[in-house]
Amino acid sequence: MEQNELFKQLTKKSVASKKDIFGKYLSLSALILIGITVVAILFFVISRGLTTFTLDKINPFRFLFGTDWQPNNVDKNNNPLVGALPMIFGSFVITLLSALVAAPFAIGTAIFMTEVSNQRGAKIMQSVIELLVGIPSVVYGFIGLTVIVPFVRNTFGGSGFGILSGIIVLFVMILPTITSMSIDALNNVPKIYRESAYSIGATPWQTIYKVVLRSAIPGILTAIVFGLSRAFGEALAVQMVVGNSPVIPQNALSPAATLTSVLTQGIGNTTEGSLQNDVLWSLAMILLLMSLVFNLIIRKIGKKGEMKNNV
Amino acid sequence: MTKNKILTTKNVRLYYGQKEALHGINLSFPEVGITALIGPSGSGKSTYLRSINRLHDLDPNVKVTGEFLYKGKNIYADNTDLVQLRTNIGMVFQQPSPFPFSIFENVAFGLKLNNKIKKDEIDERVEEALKQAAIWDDVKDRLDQNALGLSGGQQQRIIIARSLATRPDILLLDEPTSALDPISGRSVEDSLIELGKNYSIIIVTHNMQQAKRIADTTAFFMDGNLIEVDDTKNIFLYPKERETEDFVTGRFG
Repeated sequence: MEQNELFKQLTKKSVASKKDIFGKYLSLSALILIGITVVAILFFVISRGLTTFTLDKINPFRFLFGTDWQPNNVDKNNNPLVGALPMIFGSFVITLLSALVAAPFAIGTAIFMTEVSNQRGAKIMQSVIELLVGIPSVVYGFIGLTVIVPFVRNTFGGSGFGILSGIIVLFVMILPTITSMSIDALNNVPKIYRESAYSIGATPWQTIYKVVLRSAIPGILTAIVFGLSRAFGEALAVQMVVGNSPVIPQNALSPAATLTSVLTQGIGNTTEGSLQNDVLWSLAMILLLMSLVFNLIIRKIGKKGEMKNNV
Repeated sequence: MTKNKILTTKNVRLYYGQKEALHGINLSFPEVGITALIGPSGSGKSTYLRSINRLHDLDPNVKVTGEFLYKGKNIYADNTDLVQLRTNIGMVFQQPSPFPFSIFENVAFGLKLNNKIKKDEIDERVEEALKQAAIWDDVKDRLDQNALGLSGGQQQRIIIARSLATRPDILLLDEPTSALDPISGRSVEDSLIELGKNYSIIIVTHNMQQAKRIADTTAFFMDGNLIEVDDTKNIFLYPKERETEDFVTGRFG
């Protein structure tokens, strides 16, 4: 009799364990929802993006490497002029150059904040950086339009709309991203590395560039790739200053277009189901795939850094 | 007596902000031999050790007063070159902390800071330092591998070699074996005993057996004071002070 009671007590679920199960299912369902969303987006963009090649019978090779982008016109063989190379090229050039320019500034700022300045200076800089991250991209674009474009026009000539203006605007936009991630990377370098370097006779500067920076390389590379990926996906601000002319740019001043700028411009002006609309989906697919590539690179670098730093 | 002392400290006081943490330490160290600093946690032994190569300079809240005569020159004089000082007085920490570079680069680190040294000589001195730290045979075939791939005891001996490569006179060690397993710890101790024949070694240790095994002289610290310093044998067998006796017999600490 008594044993039976004990058995009942033990097999009956307590309130706490019921709550535990409830929590588990709650978080699991959130996870599933997000999973479905991601899969749906991937499926949707890729299936629409592939329509260009399946239904509209566009040669993928000509799409990727063609240099003529006039989706409304056809060439003399009646093939639509949908060469996406100018935008792919524009996206890569502007992204890479802006990250290349931003990286040294970001790393320098990060070194100053973690290694050189006192706590108060670092705190002020920290809030400046957070402010920069929070500014909406349309504001950056607007400043680019009213300040950068005239500046480029007056200094270097041309219309002012073009690659250079795009690079400058993106440079400012990704600077805080790379900086704050570089700061994390530098802060993650164990304090003992610094003390060890000092105790062998390294000067503060030698400690920074021979030990701290070197140990933080994986983290800093991750920061740069994050910056790249942000720059690659940025649409609005770039579109406002880049000139939006889908041709391969001749020099830094020539107007150009990026994948994102063509997308934002065109997606509202085409009818769904038409070739003009389908090719935009193909551009979106390229963007999506590139983001995936960037993420893979970040993961790879991150893993390498973990292995190196597991003290 | 002061003739064969390489380092003499007089009335060393150290302040964390307003709080005095060391209350006037007078202690000197011979040119060769191992001196162990023992005492309960918070007794100031590590703090004292770190003041010897001016590591407290990194913390603006710390103030050190008193005299540190290294070969007759005050370490805390304004015109002391910290780079030279820390080359002459090396330091090994509790946590084995090789840089995430190759073994060779770790040991050569101090040498490469001074770009006057030729490559041949760097190679030579790396080998010399690794042999002195008794780790050469373990690593001679893989000098280009990452030092983080070594075991804890090996890493700590690499660190010792890294300090020795710049040919210091004094080697400071802050509980160098407490993060290691006993066998690795013993391997480091064996290296230290050998090194004690040629260097002045000052080691902070929590492990009284270790002090007994390796130290020629032992100094007992408590609450920021130096209670007693004597031959290691005397400290453990015939301590003069009551506190020392209580500590070494395990009555507290």
